[in-house]
Amino acid sequence: MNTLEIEDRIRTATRAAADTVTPDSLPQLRLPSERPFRSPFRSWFRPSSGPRHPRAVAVVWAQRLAPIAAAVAVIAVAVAMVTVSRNVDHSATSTGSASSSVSSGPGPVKAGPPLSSYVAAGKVPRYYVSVESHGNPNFNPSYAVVRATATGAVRGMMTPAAGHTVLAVTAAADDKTFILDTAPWASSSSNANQSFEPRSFIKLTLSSAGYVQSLKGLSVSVPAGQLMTGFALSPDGSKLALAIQPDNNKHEPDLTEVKVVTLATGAVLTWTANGTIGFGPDDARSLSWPENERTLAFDWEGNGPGIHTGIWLLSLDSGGGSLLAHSREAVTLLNQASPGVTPVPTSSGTAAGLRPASSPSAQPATTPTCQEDSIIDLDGSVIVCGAIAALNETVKPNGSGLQRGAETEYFEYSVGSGKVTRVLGHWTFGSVGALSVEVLWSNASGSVLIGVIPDSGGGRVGVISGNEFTPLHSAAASQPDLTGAW
Amino acid sequence: MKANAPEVSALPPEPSRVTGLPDAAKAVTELYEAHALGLIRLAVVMLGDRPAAEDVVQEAFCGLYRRWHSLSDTANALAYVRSSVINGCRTALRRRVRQLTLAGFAEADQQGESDSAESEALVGEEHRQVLLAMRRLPARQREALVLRYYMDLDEGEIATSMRVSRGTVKSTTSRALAALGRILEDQS
Repeated sequence: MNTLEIEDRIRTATRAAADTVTPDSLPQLRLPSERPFRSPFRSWFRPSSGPRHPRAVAVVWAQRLAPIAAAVAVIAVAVAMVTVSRNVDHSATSTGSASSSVSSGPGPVKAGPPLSSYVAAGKVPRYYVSVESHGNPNFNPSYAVVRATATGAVRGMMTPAAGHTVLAVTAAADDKTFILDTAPWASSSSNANQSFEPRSFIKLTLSSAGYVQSLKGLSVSVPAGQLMTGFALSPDGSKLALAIQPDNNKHEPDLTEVKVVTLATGAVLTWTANGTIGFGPDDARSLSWPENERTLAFDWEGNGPGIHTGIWLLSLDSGGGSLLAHSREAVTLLNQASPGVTPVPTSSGTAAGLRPASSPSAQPATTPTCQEDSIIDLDGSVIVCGAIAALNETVKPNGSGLQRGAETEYFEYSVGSGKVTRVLGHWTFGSVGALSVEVLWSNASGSVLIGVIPDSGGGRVGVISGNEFTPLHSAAASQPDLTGAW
Repeated sequence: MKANAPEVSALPPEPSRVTGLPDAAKAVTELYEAHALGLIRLAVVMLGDRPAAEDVVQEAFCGLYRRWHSLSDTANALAYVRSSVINGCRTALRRRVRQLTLAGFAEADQQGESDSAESEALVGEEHRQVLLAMRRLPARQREALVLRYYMDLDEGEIATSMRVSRGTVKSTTSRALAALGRILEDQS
């Protein structure tokens, strides 16, 4: 079968599939009943009044912050492109109790302890940095916001200079060091592709009280035209790992480079292979570090026939060279190419006895399987990841749309055996919106996570431990594409 | 976009600048009525699953509605929602990786995909074989094929949509064609 024939068969087959959707069979559009989303800051300024245009909000925001911004300008001089704002706490509308927020969720998730108790016990970091925007980030530049984990209160905001945007953030394990991934803003009206704008990095250090103590532009950069698909700061903040697809128009279009940069010296080690790390640009969770910093975990999709995804461990002692030759696959997530290799936690029985006692007993027709993005814990012994499977997708009785449930599980895999060793959370939801699941942070042992569970909308971010879930506060925590780092 | 491309590529009716909820709902509803067919068809081709496709499109329009006032130019609304649909399909495929396990394929094959776009009764056996073969490709490869051969996008447009380089589009498409050819030959 020649290429032209294959192309023709694809054209006709996809057209035939499309034609199965007839004009008279379209479902009715069901818009949400609430007022259209305007700005995550709306309630902070006018909690009881009507909405205002996002730009007006931004102006007020800037006016309120101007004196403080001037006060902290002395620490920002090293980074000309970034303005820093420090603000008084804006406590979130919720009080810190977990149960009230969870009860509004879609499923029988047992509420965990209040966030304040997690923070007080040192079980989760006190602060995090999220990437937020005024409105749709596809059409508006983003900025970084420092928030208190316990309350969602804003401790500071770093807004790039005009013409730039913050794309992602990664954190060390010290609860005070973050690195912002920034780039020139490619507006929707320009021909520029945001993915290929040059990346530069800003080191942000917090004080013990969670306020911005310093900002420093790093000498590390990713040139224009290259695609960064992963980045991760080492636990002690001394090294930055990058996954980059360099000039893809050359001989090796699938070439991926892993670079580890020692920030103090600028020394760079590079490993290369053909395949893909991360699921898109600026993926801050496709790479992760254990505390000894001798290994780097990366998600990997090979470019051979069939789907083969897994979590690999790179030995940094190798000093550079072939990525796969110096790595081993610790966990196979999916291996279509080799039958029987893919671990199927539930059907194999390996996870059934590991589930929490309060787990749902009913088994779904299909088993949730982890996604590519997974995190190695600090002690390097386990890899944690989230999985989800839709349940009972049906048309609503009135024919107005679809309804479905979901089974969500958070797995812990042994780095040594590649097998599931624990199910950290397991819930079945009767009705959900988006199928959202993601590990955003793990404690040293993998027993406490910050992750996403589905709800009636795009998902909910919170602390997961012992099959309990405590939702985070703040508007940002309810956004499905939260890009925060702890 | 090519002249003979599916109707999803048609230019949107430019809604008026709106300031209130009823107007936003009206504009989004009008956009839906004008383009839902093409967008659901696109999602069906991407996902091979009518209910999931409707879900993705519904979510895309709800997202548009929620963010209507943050659009700097409402003339971009169709571009936004089309991008949302493609992203939604990508996410759905990613979330449904478990369906691509061998067990899942075996189950799907045995059940004949009676409710899917690959149903033989709907598309015919020859097309069904191609569509099922496409479902066995990695998500990126399938997306590249759909954008190239269903949407008739050129390499630059696909690169923009997939947020990869032209080189990656070229190599991904090439690998996808080769893999698809092998699968189809194995089936014959």
